[in-house]
Amino acid sequence: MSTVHDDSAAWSDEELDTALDDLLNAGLNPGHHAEARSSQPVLGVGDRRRVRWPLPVAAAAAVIATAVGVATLIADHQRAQAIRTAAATVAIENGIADVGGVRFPVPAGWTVSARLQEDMVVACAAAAPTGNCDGVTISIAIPDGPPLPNAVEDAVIDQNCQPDDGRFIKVDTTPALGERAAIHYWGSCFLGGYEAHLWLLLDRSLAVSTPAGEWADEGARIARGIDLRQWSRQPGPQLVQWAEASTAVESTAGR
Amino acid sequence: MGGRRGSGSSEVGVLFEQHHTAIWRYLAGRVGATHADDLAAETFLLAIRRWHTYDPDRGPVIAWLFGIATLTVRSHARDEQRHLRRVQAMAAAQVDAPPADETIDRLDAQRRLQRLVPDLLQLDPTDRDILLLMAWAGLAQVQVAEALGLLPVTVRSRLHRARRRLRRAEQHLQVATTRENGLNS
Repeated sequence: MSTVHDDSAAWSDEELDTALDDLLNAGLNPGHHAEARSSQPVLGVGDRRRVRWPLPVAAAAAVIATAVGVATLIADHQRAQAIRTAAATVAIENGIADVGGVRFPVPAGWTVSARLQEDMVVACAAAAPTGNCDGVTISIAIPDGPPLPNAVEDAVIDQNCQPDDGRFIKVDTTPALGERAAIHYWGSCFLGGYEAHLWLLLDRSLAVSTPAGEWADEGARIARGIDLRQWSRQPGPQLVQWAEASTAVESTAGR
Repeated sequence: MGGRRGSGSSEVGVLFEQHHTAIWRYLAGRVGATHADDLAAETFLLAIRRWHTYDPDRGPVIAWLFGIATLTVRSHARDEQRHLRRVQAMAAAQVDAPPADETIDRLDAQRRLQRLVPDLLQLDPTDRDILLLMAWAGLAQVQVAEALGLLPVTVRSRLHRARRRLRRAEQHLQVATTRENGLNS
């Protein structure tokens, strides 16, 4: 019990509050303790002044450095956020939608909404766009952001398939989206089942997809009419690969 | 603050200007001035990333900010323990060999620190968070509840428990002292 002390009372509320203030001050003024603990000879007043002045200056410099560092990071974050926000901006004029520079025709009676989701913008073209899009979904990678996730492809039919379903996928490697190289997948969970479609840029930066059995013609029209000339994301390396053995056939969607 | 809308960076930029000093002061108490700069920066960066989670209907933004600051302390628990032990050691050194110009008040403060630090270290971390948020951040119990994601009644009972445990720790020490004195006499 080497730390036993002589106090006869337990912590009163007032005493505890005072002790907590002491602890706060100990954190705020570490120099006092360090100086008191020092085994160096006692310094004169003038000497102490010379020794003490660097501490507040260093503390002030540290605070300024922190502020500048955070302010810089905040500014960087603001710029990145401004790009993201612009990427999800929707304008529709004369039947053409513009989502952050990606333009495409809007089917008659439909409208378009868009929302930011992680590192991509998910636009929904539908009669009544919702988060669970009952229409055509256009997934757009953020300019300067990463490519679209693999899940964009997986979602084409997997969402509607049972684990033991066959997943019949057909591939057309010849189309283009906005004059950039693309691929068109379509498939169903079982032979003759409802087909879902996906048009995907080979650099995995943009995808147009339709749910199984719905809106294939509208999806094809949007994919055909996509205009990327105002889109600030530059073409990237090919990331989408397909097996040579895949059934390459011609799509009938939109015909 | 203008609510949930917005990117968070501009809003947190304003928060930084308004509350950096209070947050830094709280963090300096928890981990010492040396680490407080880093943890304050970490706090505001986390605030930017989590701005979308801030719900103005649930309480003032300062409580939310202190909650994030407390999270950063938890992720630097070793720094906090090292700081507390250093404070305790320095207090012991000053009590054992007080400097010539040491005042009675300062010596009393060092003695209180010698008693307080071991008691604080044995508290449950959440109880310690509650105690220190109320003492140093000046938050009301309901705001501490918001900051830590607890129910107000939980904060009340944990605060009561923390203070009771501190008293028990102290009483335990006194019993040991009495026994030791009895044996020695």
